[in-house]
Amino acid sequence: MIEIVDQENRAKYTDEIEAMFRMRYKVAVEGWKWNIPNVTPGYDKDQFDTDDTIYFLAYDDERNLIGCGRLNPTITPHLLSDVFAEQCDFEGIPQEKDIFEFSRFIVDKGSLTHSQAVQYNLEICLAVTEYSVANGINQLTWLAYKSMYTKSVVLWKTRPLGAPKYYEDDDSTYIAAIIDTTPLAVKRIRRFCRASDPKIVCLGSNGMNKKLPNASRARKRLVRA
Amino acid sequence: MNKPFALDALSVIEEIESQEHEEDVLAIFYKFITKFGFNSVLIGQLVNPILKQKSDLPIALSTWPDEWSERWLKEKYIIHDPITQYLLKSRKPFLWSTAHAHATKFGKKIVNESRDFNFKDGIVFPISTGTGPLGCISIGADIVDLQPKDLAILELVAIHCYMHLEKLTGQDEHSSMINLSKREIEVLHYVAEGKTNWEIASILHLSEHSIKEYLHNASQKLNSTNRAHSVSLAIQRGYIIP
Repeated sequence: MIEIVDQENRAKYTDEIEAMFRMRYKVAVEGWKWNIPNVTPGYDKDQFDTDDTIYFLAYDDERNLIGCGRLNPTITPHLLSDVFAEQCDFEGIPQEKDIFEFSRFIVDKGSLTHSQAVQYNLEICLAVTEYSVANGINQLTWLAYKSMYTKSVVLWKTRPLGAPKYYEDDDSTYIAAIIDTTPLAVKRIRRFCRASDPKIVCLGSNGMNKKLPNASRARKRLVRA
Repeated sequence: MNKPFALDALSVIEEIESQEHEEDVLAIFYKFITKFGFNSVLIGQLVNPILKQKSDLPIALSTWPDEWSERWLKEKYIIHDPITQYLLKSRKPFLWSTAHAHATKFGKKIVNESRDFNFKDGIVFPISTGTGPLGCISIGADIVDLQPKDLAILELVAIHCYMHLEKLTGQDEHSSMINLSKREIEVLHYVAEGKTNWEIASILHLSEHSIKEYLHNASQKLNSTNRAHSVSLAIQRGYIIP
């Protein structure tokens, strides 16, 4: 189950967001060795966790937090523009109203099997794509692990924004990418994660009520919390 | 990054992804790598040849001479070839010569035989979407002389080329992904150890009926014909480790 938190329902999710900051630290900083400047020990909240941020929280059946992701507008400062600009060395950093940045895409593998972890990953991708389609967000930028970039080529139309770059901190290669969030991508990701069950994405806000071309169709597929 | 290089990569990616036939993808990719001095390409999915028949290999495209391709497949060189061995533990592109330096005695024999077909050096791009490699794109040249920006461009194009082929052949990892539950995997693990349903029921504090149910569900998901087949498929798909 994915729950989406935006400005409209933020007040109801104070505890969940705090738990997400702690989970992000545990998985990304302690586990994956991300080097986040000035991070508070035990608590990963950065300058891009703002009032405009939209969060995607993945829960298991017992409502344990398993994963998360966030979207930020690209017309205001965001990770690629302020921290990883050198990753976009092809044609610059896309900054448009209908382009958002996807970041802090994290799944706490913990005791999950590989296929369960893949499933949560896909469910977050699905929720992010459905939300984007329903809210007029046509493209997402993100800084992806090389393996995630490779996977994204299958899920969305994906284009590189720059050359792959290797980071010693976490012994990983990253590629900045831009992906198209289209109804076709939604269909494709739904097929991959066998998401015929509409409960898979649960929207806890009014995000789907905005007057956008795809909103009514998307709303039918979603269950309101 | 030099702009023409970037635009070249983006346009070849666009061209590759607009193709509907595997051979055309290979031809475009081949034409692209010749600009960097390469003269052969192999695009291969990493499979265990003991578990998969040649006819089941979904992605195996190359510009290799037929005689060498046939020998490599028939003799199951994939098991001993130092490049496939090195691929199993590498996430970053590597030179053939680096892999050759780690060759076993039999691996060295394969390398020597390949020299007769004019294979000298090359570079391998491992393709992975998660834990292990799915396969690779291996390109050969007389001498590999790449600038870091060339390597970066080639790697990006290789990723798009491989994944587009997966799309075309319907072999993408997730399309064949089967969601076995934690319990189903646990039960299959004990079946693989030779335990009876009664024994598994005792270990897991469940009824024998429940164990049968879990195995039945797993069998349906895996599309298997019996217990042994379920175990074999679960191993192939990495749910249980033998």
